[in-house]
Amino acid sequence: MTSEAVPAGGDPRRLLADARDLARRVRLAQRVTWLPLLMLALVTFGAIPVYRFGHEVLSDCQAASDGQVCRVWLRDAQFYWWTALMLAYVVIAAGYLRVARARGLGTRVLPYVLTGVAFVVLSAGVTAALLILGDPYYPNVPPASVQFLLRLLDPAGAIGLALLGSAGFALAQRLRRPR
Amino acid sequence: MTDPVDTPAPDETAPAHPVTGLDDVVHQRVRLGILTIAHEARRVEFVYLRTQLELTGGNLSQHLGVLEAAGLVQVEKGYAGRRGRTWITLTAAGDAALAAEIARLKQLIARVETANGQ
Repeated sequence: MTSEAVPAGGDPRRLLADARDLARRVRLAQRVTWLPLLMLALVTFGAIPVYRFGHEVLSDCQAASDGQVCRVWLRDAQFYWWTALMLAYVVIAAGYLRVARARGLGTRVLPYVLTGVAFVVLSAGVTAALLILGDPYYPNVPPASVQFLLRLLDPAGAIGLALLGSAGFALAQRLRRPR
Repeated sequence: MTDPVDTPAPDETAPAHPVTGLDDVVHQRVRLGILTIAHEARRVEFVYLRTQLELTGGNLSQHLGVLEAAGLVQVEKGYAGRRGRTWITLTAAGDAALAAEIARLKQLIARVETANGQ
């Protein structure tokens, strides 16, 4: 037997369990998992004709042993990804707000939108810097580490980074919740 | 007359029992539920709260009145089309009160578990 006082509000374990259960139900009601997946599919399929019919900018062509080496900038594809990503983020955020509101809830979308916009801006900044300053390794292939970094900031890589950022935000939110 | 030395003086250095810090406004099943939902959702509609907490409208209004009077929630009335809607938002004080209540509940559980283990 213990001398602990029993609080008037009820068993603390029960109160905490109830709070956790209510928080879980809110998260389930806020969830619209199909919407980001649908947007990702639409954006990816939309890229197919852009790559097929889009314009490539060739410059600085130099003769090589087996032909020519040129700088290639997939201009249309690059602009497509930046625009499509921004639009996708806005549509996903608006969709989440709309669905949550219809269910009688609010939801936090601003950090997700800011994460996406930040990665698009970063990706555009790196591309602009490479265009203005030029590729210091050209006409040779950059080292693997540099290639990895450039791939990471490619639009497709930026999607992955944005997803990781969103997952990090979701984890931080989860840690703030009653447990 | 008893010797004052025989009466054990309260130990002022010992940590206070978690129960002493419980806030009666928050330490109540329904009101804790309202704060938890509002914290999780940022903003919640009256009807959602009524359904999830299985309360009548009048009962929920009373609890919301207590929380609003304590400055823990903000109640806004508006319209969605022709339907009237009431939205409840957690204030900064409400957020702090919820965090404090959760911390005290955890302390209480830890204390009871420690006492049971001895």
